Amino acid sequence: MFGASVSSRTDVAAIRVMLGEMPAMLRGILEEIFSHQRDMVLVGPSDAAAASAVAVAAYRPDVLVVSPDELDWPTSYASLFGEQPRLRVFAIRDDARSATMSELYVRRWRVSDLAPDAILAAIRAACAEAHVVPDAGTRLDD
Amino acid sequence: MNAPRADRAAAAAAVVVASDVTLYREGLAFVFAADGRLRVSHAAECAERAAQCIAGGGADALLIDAAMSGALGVLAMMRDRVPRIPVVIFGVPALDEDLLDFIEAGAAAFVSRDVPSRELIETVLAAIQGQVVLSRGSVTHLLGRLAHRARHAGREPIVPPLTARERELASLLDEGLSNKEIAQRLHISVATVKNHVHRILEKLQVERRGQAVSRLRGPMNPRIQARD
Repeated sequence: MFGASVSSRTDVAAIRVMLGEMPAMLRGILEEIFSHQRDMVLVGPSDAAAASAVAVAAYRPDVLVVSPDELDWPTSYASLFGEQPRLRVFAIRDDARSATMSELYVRRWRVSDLAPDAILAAIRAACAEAHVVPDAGTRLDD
Repeated sequence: MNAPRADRAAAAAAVVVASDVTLYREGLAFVFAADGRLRVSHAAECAERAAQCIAGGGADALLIDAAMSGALGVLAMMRDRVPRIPVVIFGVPALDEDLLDFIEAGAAAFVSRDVPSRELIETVLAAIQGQVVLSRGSVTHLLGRLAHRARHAGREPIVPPLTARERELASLLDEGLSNKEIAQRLHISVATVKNHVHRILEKLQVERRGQAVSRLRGPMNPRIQARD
């Protein structure tokens, strides 16, 4: 287990990195890379299949690094945000050529002209997971 | 007492790592340096560069990514010019149908991406010492393949036959799908599709996918033969 042995030599604000499902060769490479970073600490079990809700809840990583076989990985890891809302998931593609970083965030809009229609439009847009902000709204977090 | 790092690096066996994946090229250098028994003398991002590095001398082994385009060509070159330098293929699943092609091309050992770093290093060291390293699953698979070839001796295709995956991909080429469309259909990356297409073109001895389709549509084509 990495957390117990490495955490004592790191700073208080070290970034907690957990390695999840991935081929062993890639795991070895990433362990070597992360173990030399003074501002990062590896946490969690040292074997595969660590990307479970239980492991995330237990070790509270800031970043979970995975390299699943399937392309539809977001559905596999989305539930982990419920355990650790500040989690970032760094998903390396199976060919190890690129990756995506995913994080949970809150979207906010200001509805300045609080007419009944504006309230209804904002609610409908949000519930429809619309990416187009109603005319009256101003998105705050970009 | 451990030897100083510089001394250990000098004593470490020199390995050319060839992969078109940056993370493997640079990451394996970290892994080897930490272990101390191997060092990456050159990192090659393509088959041509790997051949140049080997030809330059000084390497004790070549560690090459099975998915890299032109990997078989590098093996053929080394078999002819520098047969004493062992070639270790990494990224080959234990039951991959390409195993036999790599062995025939002169590969000394194989490791899949599922092996730990220590096993990878031990495999390369064993290959440098002249050993051939195969997993038990690979041996069983290879014996089956060899038996199949023996049964079909005399009817063997001139070029290596397409694997099941390559045949599947070739049929999508025949439908006129783009690499992106094939990737979506098979749920694999575009880069992986490109690797498969390149391998198909190599095996069919053609340069363009249109030529491959024509070859595949040939009514009396002895060169295309299913392996299973």
